[in-house]
Amino acid sequence: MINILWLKQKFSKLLFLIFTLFTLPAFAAASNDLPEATGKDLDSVRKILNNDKLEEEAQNKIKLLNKKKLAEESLIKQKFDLPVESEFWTFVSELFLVKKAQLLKWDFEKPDYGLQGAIEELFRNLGFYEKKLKVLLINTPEITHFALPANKNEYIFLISVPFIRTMDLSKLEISLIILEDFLRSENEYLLSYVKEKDLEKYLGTNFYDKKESSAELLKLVDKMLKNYEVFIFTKGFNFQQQFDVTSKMNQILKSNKQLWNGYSSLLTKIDKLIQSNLLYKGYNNIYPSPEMQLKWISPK
Amino acid sequence: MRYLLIALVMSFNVMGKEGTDDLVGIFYFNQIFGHLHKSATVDSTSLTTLSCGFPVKVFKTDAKDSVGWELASVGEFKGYIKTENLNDKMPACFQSKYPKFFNGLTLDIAEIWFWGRLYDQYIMVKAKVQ
Repeated sequence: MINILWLKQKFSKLLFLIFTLFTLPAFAAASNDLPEATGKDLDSVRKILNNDKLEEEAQNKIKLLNKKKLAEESLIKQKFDLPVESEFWTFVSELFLVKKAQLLKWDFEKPDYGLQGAIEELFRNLGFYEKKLKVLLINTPEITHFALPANKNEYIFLISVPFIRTMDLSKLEISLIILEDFLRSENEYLLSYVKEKDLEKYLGTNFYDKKESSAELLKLVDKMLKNYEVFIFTKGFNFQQQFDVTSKMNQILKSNKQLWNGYSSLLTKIDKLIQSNLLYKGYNNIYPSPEMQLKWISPK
Repeated sequence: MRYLLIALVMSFNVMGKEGTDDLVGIFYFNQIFGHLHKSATVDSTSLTTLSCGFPVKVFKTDAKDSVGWELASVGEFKGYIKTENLNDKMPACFQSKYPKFFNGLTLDIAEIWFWGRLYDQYIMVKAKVQ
């Protein structure tokens, strides 16, 4: 019995040995083949990815995301843009009108003088086309008439209703005052006075990285609003500027007798007014002088 | 930008409430600020103040005394706006182009109100070739 058991044990050991001897080389061969097989798989995966353009698509997605991010950043940055000069002057003049609304008294119920048609006709007859004119009637004699700086081909005019009433001005005469102010505006007399020299440093720039620029520009705007006041109420135009404008008016109107007579009669009316009405004695300081203007246009 | 947002919220509020029978369409206010008037004259009461880009609903009107004006609703108000102050497309507004600079002006309510009145009071003349 013991012998049989012993034989069984021996036999199974022998079987295990034979199995091991035969299977080991097979395992070794299989383990040698493994890295080679993985490399081939990776290449084939790469090939599939290339064929499906998945890598390209992934790169495109990254590019798109970067583009989107840049666009978002640029939108945020855009909010810090400062106005360009071509959009600046109408804005500043209107800001001046808003800040000085109580003083200039332009918000009141106005008489209808039929000025729209009269001014349009005068400008068209004289060949001034594609101009956008904004006329604001004011209810104070403090300013008689003025043109404020505005964007290209835009003009803002102030004209005093008490001034119109005191002289009983006709539509044509009011239109001629507007025309004279239009020429002053074209020559940029007020603009060159109010414009601060550092202004161009800021206009059209972006202050995203220079937060102080906006505050500095706003300070300049405040300064310029004060310049408006000084020029409009105190300084006014000089003789040379008046001479240039009057000569230009004379040149434009002399071919039309009715218009020229209208201008001459207007200057005569103003001259009489400032000599007789104390309320308008300051007129000569702003527009020197109707008496000289009459001399300049009188035929030699 | 904040003025535009307030405007949008107010207008959408109204859009839900009103019928669309005589609706002409949605238009946008095109001046820096402006007013919705009680009647079709510049000196009539201002019902509310608008800012540039504000969407308004414009309705048909047969009133003969409203030439140059549009019947419009803004928020809870229905009144008149000058035709020349409305665009059928969103305008390029100064305050939207330069929001940070514009907000730096810190305009008070009275100044906003006056700025709106300015476009009521201007006599607009366009010298064009006939």
